Amino acid sequence: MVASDFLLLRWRVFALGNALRDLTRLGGRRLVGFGIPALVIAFYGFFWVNSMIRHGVASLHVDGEFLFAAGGLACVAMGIGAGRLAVMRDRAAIESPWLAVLPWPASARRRALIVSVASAFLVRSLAMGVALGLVVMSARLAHPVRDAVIGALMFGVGFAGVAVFLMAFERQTKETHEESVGAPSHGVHAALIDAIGRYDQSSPRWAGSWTLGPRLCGVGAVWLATFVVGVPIAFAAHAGDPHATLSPAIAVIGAVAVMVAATRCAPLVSPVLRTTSLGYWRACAAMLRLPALMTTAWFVGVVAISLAGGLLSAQAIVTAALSAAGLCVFYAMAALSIPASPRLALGFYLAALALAADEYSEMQNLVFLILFGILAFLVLRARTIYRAG
Amino acid sequence: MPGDNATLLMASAVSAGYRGVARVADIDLAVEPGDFLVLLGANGSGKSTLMRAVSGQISLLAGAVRIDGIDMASTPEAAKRSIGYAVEPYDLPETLTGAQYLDLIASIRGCSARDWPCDELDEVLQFRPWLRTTISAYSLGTRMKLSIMGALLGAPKLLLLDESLNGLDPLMLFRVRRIFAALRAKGHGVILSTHMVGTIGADCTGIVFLEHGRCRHRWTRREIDAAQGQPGGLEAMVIAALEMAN
Repeated sequence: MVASDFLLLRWRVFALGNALRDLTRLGGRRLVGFGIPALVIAFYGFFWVNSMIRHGVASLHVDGEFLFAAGGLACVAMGIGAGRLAVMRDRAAIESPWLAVLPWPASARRRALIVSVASAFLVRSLAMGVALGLVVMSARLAHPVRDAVIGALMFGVGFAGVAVFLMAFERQTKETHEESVGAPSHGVHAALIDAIGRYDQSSPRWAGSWTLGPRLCGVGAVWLATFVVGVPIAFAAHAGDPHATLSPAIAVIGAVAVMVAATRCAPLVSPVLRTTSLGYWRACAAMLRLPALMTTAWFVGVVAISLAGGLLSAQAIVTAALSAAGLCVFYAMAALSIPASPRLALGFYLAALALAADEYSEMQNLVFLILFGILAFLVLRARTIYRAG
Repeated sequence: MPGDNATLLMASAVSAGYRGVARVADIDLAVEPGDFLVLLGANGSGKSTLMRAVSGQISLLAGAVRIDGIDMASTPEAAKRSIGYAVEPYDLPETLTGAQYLDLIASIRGCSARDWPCDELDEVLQFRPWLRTTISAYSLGTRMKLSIMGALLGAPKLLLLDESLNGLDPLMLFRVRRIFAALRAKGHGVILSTHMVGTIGADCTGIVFLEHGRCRHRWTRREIDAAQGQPGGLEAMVIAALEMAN
């Protein structure tokens, strides 16, 4: 190991130090002003999540083994997501221009990437272990320490697996990228963009292709995966009968998953649209046109298969369609109200859904009206920003 | 039409900034048909903030902006109909190709994707080989060309160019200036922000010098013409003002 192997790590530490220094520059009074509400929210959030987990686990009525298996799989999935993000972030840092021009051999770059990803692996697995510890204590399971450790291990397996896989294919990906720069766009991605573009011809043209962009293959994968996995599960559940509500639930969850994967409203903050005469609602419609089309196609496909297989009654279809439409509109509004950050929009959406689920027993449908009201206010605020900053 | 003979841009006592903090304050600008106004200033002097305020991207903290007689604050969509804004190179949608970007802008403006003020602009700017390549692969100069081509689509009355000529090679710069001159002769107006005296050119009709978000000096058409009467005169005039400011 040489000093340059720790370069990315030092970069992260410096960045953290700078962020903290910037925070202290706010001045004592402002820090207290931010700090006290943050602490109150954190405490409230902790107790709320704690209560939700306890009630949620109690109301599931599922056996411990099923819960253990589902939790383990969720931990692996989170590990895969976190590992992918860590490798992508560090790879982007290594390929940034100021590092790319340094006389830094490829082997040293690779070692720096491995060191940085390994540190992320340790820190995040540890954080996951602590978070899981709190969760399983909240849920009052029989073996909290054992469950937390196993969950953290599953997270680590997902993280390490995807990190090793992505780093092993680094060279191949880089070569493909270098070949594509400067040349006319060809290949599967360009063909997909062109195919999508045929459905993207109403004014403003190509807005949907812009929003889907490089995520097009990912969105297609989500579309296909939810379809391929969802339909057999629905059939299997139907054959077993005790989970008769599973088929409509899968139709709703899959449709929302496709909507979430396909919706991105970042162009609403771009000067390309904001300096033209394009009105806000037309711009919103342009952002949501393709995601809505893909979601509808998914839902119609699943419903058609379910009908052919006798899985769903007409009433179940109507209920599922209304639920899916409501949840998709809800997500679309969240994405429109926070256009610059899809992840923040998703976090807001999930938190709002959790809140709605938690408060439903008290407030019934009023909770949804309140949430839609808040979102409508946020969307109108986003409209003001879109129109004149 | 409301603005047939109106001043193309009237900015009165404009203050604008971010999160309530003014980055430019108390700026007055006026662009008449045929004008070529240059906003000159060092990096961080507030040129881009002023351009964003004028084009309706950030709200005004004080003052008013009227584009072709239409108030930007009350009816931004109508006001923006008269402007062509050359976006900054890295604001272009990287996942689209050049042809798709032009198509997008043209569909918003309700014109054809080749409706430029001069024939075959893509050929004039040597852009045709790049039309089917995704923008992410473009160099700075190629992005600048596309941004200018997008701004010129539909021949809007007022062109706003935020440092848009900095990345062009001399031949392209000459050709773009010739297009601007032809547009101005038809009554269009141009505003260019720049920190490079060399990009100002001989045909500007006014220069506003910004420093720390305030207007420090203005040169009129007559002063600019007088300075250009001698070799290097414009540059000498500007540098003398900069030296005095420091």
